[in-house]
Amino acid sequence: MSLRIVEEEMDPEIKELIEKGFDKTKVLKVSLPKPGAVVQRNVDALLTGFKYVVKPMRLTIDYPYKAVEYPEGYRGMFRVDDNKCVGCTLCDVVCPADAIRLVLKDKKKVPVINWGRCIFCYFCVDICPVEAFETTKYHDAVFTRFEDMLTTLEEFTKRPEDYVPMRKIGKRYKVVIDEYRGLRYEPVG
Amino acid sequence: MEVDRDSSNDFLSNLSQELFMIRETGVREEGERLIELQIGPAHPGSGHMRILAWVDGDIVVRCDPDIGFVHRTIEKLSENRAYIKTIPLVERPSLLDTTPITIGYVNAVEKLMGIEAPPRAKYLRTILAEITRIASHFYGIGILAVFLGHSTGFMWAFGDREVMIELATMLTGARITYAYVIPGGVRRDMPQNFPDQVEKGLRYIERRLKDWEKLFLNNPVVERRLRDIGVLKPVMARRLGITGPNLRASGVDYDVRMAEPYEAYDEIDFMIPVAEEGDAYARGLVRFKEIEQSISIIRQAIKKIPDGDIISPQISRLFNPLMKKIYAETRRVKFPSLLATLKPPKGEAMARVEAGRGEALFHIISDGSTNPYRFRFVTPSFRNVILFKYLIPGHRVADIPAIYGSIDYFPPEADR
Amino acid sequence: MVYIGPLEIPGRLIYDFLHIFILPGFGAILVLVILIIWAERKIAGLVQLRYGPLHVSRRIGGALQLVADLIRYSLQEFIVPENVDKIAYLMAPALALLFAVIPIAFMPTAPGIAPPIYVEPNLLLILAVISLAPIFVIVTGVASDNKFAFIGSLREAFLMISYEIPFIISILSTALIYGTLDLYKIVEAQSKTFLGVLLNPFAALVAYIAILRITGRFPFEISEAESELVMGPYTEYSGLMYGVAMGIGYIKLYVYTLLFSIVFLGGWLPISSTGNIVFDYILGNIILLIKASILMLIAVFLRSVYPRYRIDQAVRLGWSLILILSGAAVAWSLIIHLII
Repeated sequence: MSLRIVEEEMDPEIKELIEKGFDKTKVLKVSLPKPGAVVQRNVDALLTGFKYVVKPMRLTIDYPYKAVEYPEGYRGMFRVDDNKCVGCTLCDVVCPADAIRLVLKDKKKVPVINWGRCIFCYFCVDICPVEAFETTKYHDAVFTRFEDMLTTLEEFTKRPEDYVPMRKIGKRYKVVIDEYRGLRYEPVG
Repeated sequence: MEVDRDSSNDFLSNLSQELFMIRETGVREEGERLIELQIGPAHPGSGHMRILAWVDGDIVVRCDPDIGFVHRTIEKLSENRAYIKTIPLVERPSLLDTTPITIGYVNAVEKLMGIEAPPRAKYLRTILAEITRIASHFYGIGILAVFLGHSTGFMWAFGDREVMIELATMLTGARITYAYVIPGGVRRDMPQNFPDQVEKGLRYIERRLKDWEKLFLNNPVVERRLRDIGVLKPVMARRLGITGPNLRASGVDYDVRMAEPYEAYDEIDFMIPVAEEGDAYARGLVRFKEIEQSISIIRQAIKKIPDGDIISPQISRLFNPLMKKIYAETRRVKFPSLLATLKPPKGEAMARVEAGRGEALFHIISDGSTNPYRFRFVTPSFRNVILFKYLIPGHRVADIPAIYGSIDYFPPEADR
Repeated sequence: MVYIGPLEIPGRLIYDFLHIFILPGFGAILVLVILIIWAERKIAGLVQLRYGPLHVSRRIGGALQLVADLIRYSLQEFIVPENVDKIAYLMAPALALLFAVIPIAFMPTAPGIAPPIYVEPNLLLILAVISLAPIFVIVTGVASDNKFAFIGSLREAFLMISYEIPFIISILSTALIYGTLDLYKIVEAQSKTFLGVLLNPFAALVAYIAILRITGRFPFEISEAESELVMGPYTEYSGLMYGVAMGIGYIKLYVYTLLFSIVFLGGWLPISSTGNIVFDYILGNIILLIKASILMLIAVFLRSVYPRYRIDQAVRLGWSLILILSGAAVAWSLIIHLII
């Protein structure tokens, strides 16, 4: 071997670990199954597949005729309340993607956002000391022009449903985790 | 340890000669019999990389991976950003098991700063890490299935992964890129109905694993395609530096969660699955068994989770009254402005974690300013990519996707 | 052979037109291939926990999805690469399609009516013509100047040899039981004794597995393996030729299952010639097409359950298990022929 290990300089903990190895009760020996009868396994596979043809169990939802309503606390688009904002500029400092920039309004700096760059990490929402951002769960935005993604102050103070272009979607369904079917969709309201 | 550079080059060429002789290919140089296949980036079976294979008839004689197509210079970008702004950046390369990578980075920063997360935050981090580990293993199994041509395995894997993603949405608010772990704790607490939904989700996955066995693992065609393909002996695995389930499928029992426990792993009782054969089937099977172990870890963590703070008191003493009110009412952690301009003392710190694909290593050197001086991070896929060069020669062209899928190589994670 | 003999004009011309263009010819091919591809995607969707194609025509469950696909392929730009062998590149898929479709003109599909081209040993003629189609698939792969297409056609060549032989042996061994090579007389013989699948189950099994391989159904989708070779022999095609390449497997599946149901499942039984020619023609064809559709549905269901074999494993299977089973089929039919 070409790696020469100098014994005296090793950490005693590592030395002990190399000598002792692991606690063998924590190791689960996985043994590969012996191949059984070929005909039996083929029939099993075919029957399992056929079971799903007869009793389908769909995990997907038929978007956009139906849509998903995410749980509380989902990180969607948000708006700023510029009466509460004190102009501390912390949101611009902490944004990882440089999506927020500041404009002047009555000698005070207020934020506007570039939706094209925002990664919805909510660092800005969480760092604001006066809780000036109001969050929503809205995320179905469809922008057709690049310029629409750079918001002005007047747009950013409105609710996202009012100015962000959106596609027509149907009823909203809530996602419930089910033991037998995986995901079950229940209509909201 | 001193490494002898000349003899390590000799060592690698001896190793490759040895492996060729094990395969008994017969043709060692390029000539008129060989075709060079470039399984390039625009190919359904290649991912974000190029595989160069020299093929003699149907047998691959030599194979070279060509990586680096998705290099996004994460390490260099982090030198111009504050420590907290790197957290969303560092979870982007390994997009499937994001939380163990962020835990590693935040552990290194916490070691520099000298703070520690409270116990409830450690348990919450562990729960989310195991949820993403199940999702990551399902992705690996799905890619193995689709490279063999089994489109049902692909769709089932992604469908079952969706249940885990919905659980993570309930906990953190985003589907895949959580940015949930910050130095000092976590950002949100779990909602009221979370333990109940988690239990239902875990029972669903256990029910589905039985169907997976019948349709995928015991399928005769799958077994013919995967048995005795790409056998990795334990000696070679140790020499080449392989990590993760690939190592455990070759008979070496090593797991960072047991060797150097972090977060809440030393208080939870679990086992690590180890197989002996080292072929592609063993690697797939070890991933299935690890999903079962993760299910038991999540159950124990939800039962044992202690009450208390979710953010370290060294950060929560900097809250202003509005932040304290919000924390008391909704258990959502607001950031004090210190976190945006964090200045750890000079020094260096290292942390290692067990991500879904293996061991990830984080090394930060700080010079006392808001940006790190150097951030080095080694991902498990980057250490496993050498298997392309040594496992594939001697097998057939149709085994290239089978071996690629079984070592679970994810190109964006390797290229960072 | 009562109503329209081979030489009576003008009834012959009308019947020929109907047989070739409407039913069971191009009209039935179009409708059935569209429905079978839709059924394949829908069944795969059911097994894979999702909806299948649903958007195009929502009220009937998305059944017209393939019409939309065909329209899109016809309007797409057809790019011919510069250094391919142009004549072979353009003619080979069309010739493969032609040789796959010609056997319909030889098959009797309704009781009492002769097909457009009627010769005595029409089973042999059908087998001969239909075995020419894979040769043109090999030509497409070699004509495109692409390594992946070349490897795809090499695979097709290996598999063609190893699976066509058991297929021909098993079909001919069933004809050995009845003692005739005429499809019409085979169906008449099945109405007097048992169905072909009961008389010689080995031959039926071998023929079905060989059909799965020849038409490229899973687990034998080897020459067009998508994760190893991009599209096999058809890698360099775009536009309408790509649509032809996608459809050629299904058209071959249709023709082969028609042949299978005539030889093994009794064709147009249980009806026999009544007095009315129109009634016989329509009812006989519909019953035959229902039998063929059930076989096609089973063949496309296997997509959801199996991955694909490796080339050497499939060839080894063909030369060992399938060939031995077809030898057993010949031995069995000799025994049965001596008994009956």
